[in-house]
Amino acid sequence: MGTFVLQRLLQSIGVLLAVSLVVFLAVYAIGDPVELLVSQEATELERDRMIQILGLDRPIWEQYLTFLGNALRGDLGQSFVHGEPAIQLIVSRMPATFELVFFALLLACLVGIPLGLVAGLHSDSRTSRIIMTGSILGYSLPNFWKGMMLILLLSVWVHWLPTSGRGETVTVLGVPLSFLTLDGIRHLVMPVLNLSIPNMALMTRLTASGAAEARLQDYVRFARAKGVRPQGIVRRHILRNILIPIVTVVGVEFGQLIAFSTITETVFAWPGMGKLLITSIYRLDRPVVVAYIMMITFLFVIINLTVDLIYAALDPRVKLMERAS
Amino acid sequence: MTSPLLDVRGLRTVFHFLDGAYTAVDGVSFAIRPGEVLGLVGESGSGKSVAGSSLIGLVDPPGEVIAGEVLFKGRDLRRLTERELRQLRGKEIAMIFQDSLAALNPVLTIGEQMAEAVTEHAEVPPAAARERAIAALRQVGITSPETRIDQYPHEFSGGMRQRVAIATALLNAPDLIIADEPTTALDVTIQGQILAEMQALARTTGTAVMWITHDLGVVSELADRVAVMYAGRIVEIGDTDDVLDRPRHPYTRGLLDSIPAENAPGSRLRQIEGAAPTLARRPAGCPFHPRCSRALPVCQEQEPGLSEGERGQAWRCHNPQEPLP
Amino acid sequence: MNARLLGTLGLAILPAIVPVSAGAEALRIALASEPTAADPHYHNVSPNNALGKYIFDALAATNADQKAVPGLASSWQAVDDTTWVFKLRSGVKFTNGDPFDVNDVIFTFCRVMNNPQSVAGSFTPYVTAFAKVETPDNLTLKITTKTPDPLIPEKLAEIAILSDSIVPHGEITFDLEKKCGVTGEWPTLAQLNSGEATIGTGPFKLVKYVKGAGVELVRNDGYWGEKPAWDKVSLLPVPNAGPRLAGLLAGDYDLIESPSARDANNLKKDPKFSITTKPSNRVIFLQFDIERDKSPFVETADGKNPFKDERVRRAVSLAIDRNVIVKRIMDDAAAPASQFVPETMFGAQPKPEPLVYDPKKAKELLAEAGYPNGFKLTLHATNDRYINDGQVAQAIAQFLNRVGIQTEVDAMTSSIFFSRRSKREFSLSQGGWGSSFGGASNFLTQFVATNNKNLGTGRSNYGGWSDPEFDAVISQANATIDEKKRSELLQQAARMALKSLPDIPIHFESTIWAFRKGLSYEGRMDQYTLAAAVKPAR
Repeated sequence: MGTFVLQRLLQSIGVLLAVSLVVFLAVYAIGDPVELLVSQEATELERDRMIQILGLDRPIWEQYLTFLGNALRGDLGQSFVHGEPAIQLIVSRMPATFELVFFALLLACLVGIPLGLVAGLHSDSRTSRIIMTGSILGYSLPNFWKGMMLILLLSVWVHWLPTSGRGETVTVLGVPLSFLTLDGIRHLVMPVLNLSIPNMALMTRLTASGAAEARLQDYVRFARAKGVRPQGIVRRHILRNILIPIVTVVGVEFGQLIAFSTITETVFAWPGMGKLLITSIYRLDRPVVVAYIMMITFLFVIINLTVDLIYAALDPRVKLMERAS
Repeated sequence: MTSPLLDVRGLRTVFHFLDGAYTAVDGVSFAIRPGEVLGLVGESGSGKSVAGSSLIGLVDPPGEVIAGEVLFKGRDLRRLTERELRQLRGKEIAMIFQDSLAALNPVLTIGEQMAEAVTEHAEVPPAAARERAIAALRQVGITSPETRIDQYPHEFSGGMRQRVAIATALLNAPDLIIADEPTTALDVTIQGQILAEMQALARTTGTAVMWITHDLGVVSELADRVAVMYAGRIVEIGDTDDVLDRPRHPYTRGLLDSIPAENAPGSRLRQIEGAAPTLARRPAGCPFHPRCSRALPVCQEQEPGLSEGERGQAWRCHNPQEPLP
Repeated sequence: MNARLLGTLGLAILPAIVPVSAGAEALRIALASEPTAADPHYHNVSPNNALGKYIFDALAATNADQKAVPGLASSWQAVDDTTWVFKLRSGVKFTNGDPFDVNDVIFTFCRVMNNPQSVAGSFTPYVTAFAKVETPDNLTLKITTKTPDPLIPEKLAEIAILSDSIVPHGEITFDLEKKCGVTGEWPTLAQLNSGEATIGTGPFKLVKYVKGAGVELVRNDGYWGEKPAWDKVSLLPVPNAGPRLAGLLAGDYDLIESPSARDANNLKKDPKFSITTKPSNRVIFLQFDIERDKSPFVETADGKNPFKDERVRRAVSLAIDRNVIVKRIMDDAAAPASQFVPETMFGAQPKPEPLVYDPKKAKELLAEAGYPNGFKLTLHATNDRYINDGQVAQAIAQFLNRVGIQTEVDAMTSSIFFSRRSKREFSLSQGGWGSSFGGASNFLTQFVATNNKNLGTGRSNYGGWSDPEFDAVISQANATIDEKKRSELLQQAARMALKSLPDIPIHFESTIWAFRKGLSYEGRMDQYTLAAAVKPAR
């Protein structure tokens, strides 16, 4: 397994390099960040000085190589707007986003998997149809609208929950976490719900289709022939087998949500990474955008690796080295 | 004559499709005595597998058993609740499937799947269940069962897997084993081994076996009695020697003739003209009449009734073969 | 975990039946944009400047109409064209006890010049304009400027004064070569963001600045000026208007910035809330490409640039019904503009000649100028920078179409717009400009004066308009210290600009604040939300 991990990480370097090139070119080719940064009254001199400081006067290939050189030393650039190292800026926002995504996915699994099992194992029943129709709704509702509706219902009409923002945090091992305080939990409820609902729908449908398929498998028939009770069949035979696609999807969703929970974070003014990305794009804060994409790419590499490892642990037929190639 | 272990009377199983109900098992009756091996022979599409599943309620929608009695040790299995049937399956009646790889759950070890059969029916601690499983593996001739018990299905060869299936079936010392084409997927040498072992086991344990197959050769070695199925009906039944040496039904005759070994070397292989009818297109009258060399006009109109001969041989034919000397 | 979560959720719902209301002394404000630093010298942008005014004071302050009034300097005088004497207020202390005197001011000037992390050297131009800074006594500051600059008090109002006690130092003098006498390291952005060096004399003290989460402040009980009504102020960034409004309605915030005009009109009818509307210094205007003989986005029969002709420019202004734009597009959260700054600003004409709507006259002028059938035009604008900018551009295009100028709109995101405009790619562009100081001179110098790198004029004069007579008047105004005279000159310059119309003002955006009943806020032309000026209503 060690070789597998190593091989994977080496491959990922190639991916990171390619991504860095594409993103760098894409971001550095458009617009003029200096226009947005310099105060309106700035003299030409000041403007030129800014361009020089940011290195924007040099040809793009030179800028890229400088960037690469710095990247190898762990410096992905300095934010134009915030004056902080881009990595630091992004990392400082990570706990908030991770918290949101973790609980959203947890909720999605806790609700989606049981619902999906019910729907998949009794696929001809009315309950199943209700669940599946509900899941389409959950998946199709636009995120922004859903978020605003939640705020309207739970904050404005009944003052149960705060409209936006992150609550009080408690710092554990240097990481500020908000779910450990009551105020934090109150602030978490709606954004987690908002992010979770489409994923619940996804989990439900995935589990349902997996369960419906598993139900027809011969090993399920064989288990029934052995006289195994329905709970036993679901627990041992069906669940174990459908976990594999579920783990894969959860992994991908996890990466996806971490990187791009922009809408939920915007609606709920959640101080996470997604909002940082969008604002940085608008303000042409190029180093942040590039650093962000690269960090996300790396995150996906790690997630894929983890998913593959879990996959191998769950399914004894899978050989790790095959997957490496 | 001892009272039969299993007495099936008029079993009828249909499949509900959008355009109507199609009869797969059309009024099948047979009996198995304790410790007896019955071979149920037929081409694919004859309904033999469905017949086997119908006995213990393993016919899944859109199939449904709509008529008949399945008397097992005096109880009519058709009248039992699902719970009572479950208690019976794997304990008093066990089943073995054709595709051993599909019948075993790929993500569970052999041991887990065997232990399941034990613990489902009795309060047996896991360690004891495991011991019983190891003993069963040894009984079917698997070497180093203590290590192999923790392996996964894909780590076994086809023959080994069927041995495992047999071992699993024997775990709770059932009165009857329904084996649905268990050797069809194996190569000939293994097939022979399994058959021999099966026979020996059945003799030693006194377990009755219903061996479903399309291969008369298999049946000739193993079975005490033979039932020949065609188009959902049993067209001939009797002691193996009687049926194979003195077949009365033209279909049986045809089957025997088409065994390659029966032909003189170099001569053309004999075959039965035409193909077995599909579920949808059962001919009127005697279902075999379109292919029968001995067909009479009455065969088109009227279904033949049951004729009986010596030693319990019976057949359904308007124009049966005369027994050869 | 499931049960526990449910249980906690249940607990969470209970306290809200009795709403968690803020104490009478705490104020929660939802901001439309987040300050990017608590370092007041980091970046010269509104959210940062506004935050700076909570914690720090400057020598002068600006009132709600952007006029300079005494701050940490109780009075000042222009002794001659290039010499200013500021008398500093006595008895003022920083929140760490350090008494305020000239050394803090000198230190601040020096720090501005030694702030490499600042974006675009935000405040350095102000200090580089000083030739000499002397301190006749502990509370008197004498500044000699390189060129006559009447705006010195206003510019000084932008520079937040830091305490010299945050760095080790010897004797402080305005000698940049010798690091002004500072012996340690200059304070960094991080130190100012963390609160370590954020020591000011302002009405509030910084408790916490957390990016993305907001700013916490408490009242400075030792404040020299009028004590704010609030013990505690929370500034929470909620950049999206919907959730911001929802927060006000739900009672999460006491006051919010910039609700949409439509929502504000609804709030007016709600007895639980009030709104304040005040015209801002931001004017929405059109700029013509005048210099070029052939303009890229204009198609005329003769291929020439029609905007070189003053009649054509006037026709464009006449074609636009500003009142309709204000009423329909801006939901009355704007005022039609007949000059480039609102009337209450320094140097504005109190009663400018109105820019009327007269499409008939517009067509006549066009015909006179040789375009009886009009011509084709693309109007370029932003679509995400100013309030309803995309729709305003569409409306303008409609008006132009009616007088025969077949206009298409190309609205784009601001980052692209600005870079293209600065490369002079457009023929007619719609922009916005906030005159942050200098009153009427600001726009005229930036947009209408001839582009001159040495003088620093016409930096945004992308159309290339050049009128030497106008240049003479405006540069004289910018060098005139006497206020009355300056105002007259500025009004004269404005009249000249509004006659030749190289730029056409359309409307002034209004700023809206919404808050719960029981509060009052007058609003400010610079759009800052200052808690010190939020008062409990009687």
